[in-house]
Amino acid sequence: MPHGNQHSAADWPSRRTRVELTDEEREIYAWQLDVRDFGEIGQEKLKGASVLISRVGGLGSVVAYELAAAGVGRLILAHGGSVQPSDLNRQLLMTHDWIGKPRMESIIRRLKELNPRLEIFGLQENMHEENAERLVGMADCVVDAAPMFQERLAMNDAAERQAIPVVEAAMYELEASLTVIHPPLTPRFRELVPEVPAGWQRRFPVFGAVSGTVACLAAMEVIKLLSGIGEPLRNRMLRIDLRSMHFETIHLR
Amino acid sequence: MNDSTIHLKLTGPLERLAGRADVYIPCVGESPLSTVLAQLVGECPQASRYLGEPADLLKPEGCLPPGVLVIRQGVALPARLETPVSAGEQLTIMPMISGG
Repeated sequence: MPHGNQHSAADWPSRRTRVELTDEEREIYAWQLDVRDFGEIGQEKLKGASVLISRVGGLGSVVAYELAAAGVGRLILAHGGSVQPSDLNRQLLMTHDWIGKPRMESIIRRLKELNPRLEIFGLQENMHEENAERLVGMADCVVDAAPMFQERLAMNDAAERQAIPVVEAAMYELEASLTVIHPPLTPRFRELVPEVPAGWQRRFPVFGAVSGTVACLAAMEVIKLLSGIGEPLRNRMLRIDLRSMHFETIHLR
Repeated sequence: MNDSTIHLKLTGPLERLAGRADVYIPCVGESPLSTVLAQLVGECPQASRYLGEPADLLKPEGCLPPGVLVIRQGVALPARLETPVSAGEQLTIMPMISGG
């Protein structure tokens, strides 16, 4: 699977469809096939799905790892730049020996170690208005794990136009928030964030355990949306404060 | 619950800017949300980075600043600043965050 900025338009894949499981996959996913309401049909839906993750850093890397483990068929990953020493407290798909080298190469290597059957379309650039429409168009579900509101707004605008659900996950220090945006079933992202807020800064305080916590919850929301089990966080926002271990569900409508 | 104040719980970067998580605004009866937030900024001037200046908050037909949720009893309030708030109530003021 090619990656980097060398993709030609012809490389960009179309959406997948539901695919039957192999005997090897039945063995690998045996423990989750027993989950109530999930079963082999749910697993086939994951295998036939494409999930876009915008930024594969502290939050997105753990989402990607959990979805790779769960058997999602294809991940579309957008993240530019090279591995920095300060990535290593939370970006769990980066390794010390890859400092200074492209993040996407480390991401793909680590995910393929876990799940060699996984298809990966890795783009060595971040989400922006020019690429959002195309990237979202390849996905059945989108995970927003970007640190800048400009990226979140560009991706949500594209997802709203194409009626693709977005799992919105974010963190700050020991706090995190999580919701599903899928208008008209839910409020639009721009109802929550009409424009880039004045106060937000690119660098934020965080432990890797905080991003990992909300990332696992976000991955579960993706699995629920794709397989149809449970009740995704539509019209609700989970607010987490790990300093006090207070979890609160806020009604948005 | 104190029936002569409104209890504001600040979260995330707003809590960090204000230097505290809890602020109590004096109130008798009820006040519009605009007045409550203007009093918050008066007490914690650094909060203006998210909430704007008191004079702007008090303008007629004003709206909440972009990316700020106000939560009462587990429900996000509409963006209108004329929303009444009663003494004794607790509001959570939550700026949307984007850490990824």
